[in-house]
Amino acid sequence: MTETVVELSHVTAGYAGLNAIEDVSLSIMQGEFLALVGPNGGGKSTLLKVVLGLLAPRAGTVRVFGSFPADSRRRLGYVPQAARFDRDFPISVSDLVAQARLDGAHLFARPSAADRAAVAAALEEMRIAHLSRRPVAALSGGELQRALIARALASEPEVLLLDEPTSSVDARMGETIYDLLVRLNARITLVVVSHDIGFVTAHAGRVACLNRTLVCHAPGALATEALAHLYGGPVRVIDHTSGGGAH
Amino acid sequence: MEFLSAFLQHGFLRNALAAGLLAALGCGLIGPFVVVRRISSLTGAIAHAVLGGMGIALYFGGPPLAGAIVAAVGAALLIGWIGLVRKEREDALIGAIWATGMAVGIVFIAKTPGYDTELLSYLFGSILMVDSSQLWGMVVLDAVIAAAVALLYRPFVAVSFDEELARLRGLPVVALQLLLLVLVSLTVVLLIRVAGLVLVLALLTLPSAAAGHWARSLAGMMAVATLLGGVAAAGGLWISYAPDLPAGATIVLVAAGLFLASLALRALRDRSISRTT
Repeated sequence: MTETVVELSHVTAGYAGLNAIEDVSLSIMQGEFLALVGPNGGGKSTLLKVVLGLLAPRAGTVRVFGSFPADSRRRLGYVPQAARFDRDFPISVSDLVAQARLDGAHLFARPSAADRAAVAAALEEMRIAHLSRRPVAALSGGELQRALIARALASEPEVLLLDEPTSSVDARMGETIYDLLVRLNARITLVVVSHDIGFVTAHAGRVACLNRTLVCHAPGALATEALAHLYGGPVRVIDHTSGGGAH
Repeated sequence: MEFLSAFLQHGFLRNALAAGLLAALGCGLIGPFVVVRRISSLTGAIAHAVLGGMGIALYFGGPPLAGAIVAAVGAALLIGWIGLVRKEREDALIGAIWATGMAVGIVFIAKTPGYDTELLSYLFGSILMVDSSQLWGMVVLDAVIAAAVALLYRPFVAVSFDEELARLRGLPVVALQLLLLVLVSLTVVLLIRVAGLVLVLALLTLPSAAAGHWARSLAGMMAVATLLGGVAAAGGLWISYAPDLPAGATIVLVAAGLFLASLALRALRDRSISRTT
């Protein structure tokens, strides 16, 4: 029997008087690859923040590994949108990834051997070990995206939440990133927010469509029709399944 | 040569150089945060609030340094509370503190007998008047700033680069942000003697912005900014000596010259890179 890792029930949340999500109930199972799709402003990023405990819901309950999000957020890894970052900030890739090893309970601690090993393993897994000393300013979009995924991996999470991991990269790099994600999915539960219906239907085990409320919910391969409904017209899906990795 | 022999002869020049180098260290450690976080207007507001604190302290016969520290830290915490805790727009408050602090200072200094002439030295610095007790005060401020940055370097970088991640890692984000603003305000106080409150902003931003053209980490930026700040302090003093120019202003001008030179060098480098690729 698979364990429920995240349980949202009747959750309403948002910012400044607007509800970005309303009455959303959703369970995320251990080991699955769930894609969250939907139009801009549909509440996808808000839902991630509620799960991470960065935003408190106005109504409803959220449980992560059976407890409050803030109490179990160390078991989660979060990959924010790459576009959000100040690319002029002077920081190297390895220092960026090492941020995930910070711990509020040991504020003055120096990085330990275990910290350095976790950083090295994460860089290796994202195949950017050769970039470890490069400043973030000198990275391509795809390299920065992989560095951000590596940062989340360095905290050794059981669930990885990714916000638009392919929005700032070209299609080819997007495919590479999805291949890396599929590999990670062998040991880590994945929740991926995406605009990219093609990638999502090819790789995700299950698709949840969010447009303020949860409007559909389908296994990856069956999602196309439901998505057409969501976007209010036929959706042209590019077939990525031939490359393997479909569920 | 004339400057060198004067330097060996006059204690006040040695004190001035020591003050300039101590100021450069504080600038070098905190300036990079001001630059990468883009909080120079907040820093300007803190600097002008200092005049209010010093004016009130002088009027009531207290030590101006204490008034300066109270006003600087108070302004930093007030702006930080509005921006970080209440998440409201802080720019109107920054403007209000900037102007009100200055006005309070002018009024109190005008009503304090014998201190009218001091006003100019607070505005534009009086590095040649630094005495050894003030130098020790600067050493203490530098030590506090350096200790805080050394102990909390990684958490400070994390909250500056990605506040969300810092929260997810359980860091005390608001406390760290407010502490950083307090360190900025202490640095402003450190610099008042050297450059005056009008020119403080230049010393906190120019060496660090120039360092930012070349540094690959915030620590590297701190090292280069401290070096450039030291060069500006020594060079500015030297230039000011023979023609008897105000040293605070020449120090800022050297810092501005270094910044422009760095900008030009980087433009040249970028052009040569784009040619070869």
